[in-house]
Amino acid sequence: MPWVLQKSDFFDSRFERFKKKHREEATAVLDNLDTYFKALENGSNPININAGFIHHEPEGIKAIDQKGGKGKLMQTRLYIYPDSAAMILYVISIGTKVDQKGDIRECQDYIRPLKRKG
Amino acid sequence: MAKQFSSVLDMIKDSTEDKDEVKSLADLINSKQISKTLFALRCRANMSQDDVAQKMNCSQGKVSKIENTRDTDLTVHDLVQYCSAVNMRLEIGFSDTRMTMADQVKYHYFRLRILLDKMREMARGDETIEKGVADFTKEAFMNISFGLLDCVQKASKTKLPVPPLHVSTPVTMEDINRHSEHETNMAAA
Repeated sequence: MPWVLQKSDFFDSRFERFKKKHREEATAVLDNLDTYFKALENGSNPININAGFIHHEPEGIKAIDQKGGKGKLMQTRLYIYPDSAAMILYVISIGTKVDQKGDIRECQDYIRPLKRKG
Repeated sequence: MAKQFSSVLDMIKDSTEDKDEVKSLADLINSKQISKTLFALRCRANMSQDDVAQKMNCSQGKVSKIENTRDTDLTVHDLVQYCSAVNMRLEIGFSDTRMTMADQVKYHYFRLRILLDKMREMARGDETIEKGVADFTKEAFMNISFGLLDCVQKASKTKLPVPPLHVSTPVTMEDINRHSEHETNMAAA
């Protein structure tokens, strides 16, 4: 069974709002998300996927940043959660580093019911 | 059930109607196919950038740079070194642009035969290995046959219209003899 991506129900609205102000940053984090997803597709265990653009947050949440993007970019975080049992990579939210505390809390609230289900 | 996507690009196409945005992301992703694969190989090998750097005898920064470089800027030397560090061998393939998918299937069939023949040749003289190769060949035959049978069954589900008249190429005894002669020669080789 291959890995698949699944967006949270609020991801699109966050993404739309974010890219209005930070288009380059959005492209850079999505490129890094693609790199992360391809590593999963190639059979890597999420705990072994490590690089400068991946930050390990509480409860298995990962934050992908904008490193590698062109020019001087705003510190960005794209929050994801890899569910190895179901082979689903949840793409939860996106925001700047300034908002990360609240964003992580929101991500935790999103994944807790998923964990209970699993 | 929530929508699921098999790639980041498909996911973003679903999130935005801005075609320029999708195109610039697609261009960026497609320009780094090799470096993304290298990254995946390192993670699968459970190695850090430092581990790879040590094996490549370079800095961690250089490894990080390779993993984020556009394919056009990578050197064969870096690729060979990186692959070797993650216990992989770099293979470079050249294929005729006129080659169809059917040609590729035929090509792989011939490659398979060559490899099995080579294996048998290498085992010659050692009874144990000869037996191992014979067993492996039988196992490969079974697996490939079942795999192909599955493909045949799936393919035959899509029924193509059968024309009311079919004119086949005439088959002569000479053709049959030529085919069996060819098979005998192949087996002897």
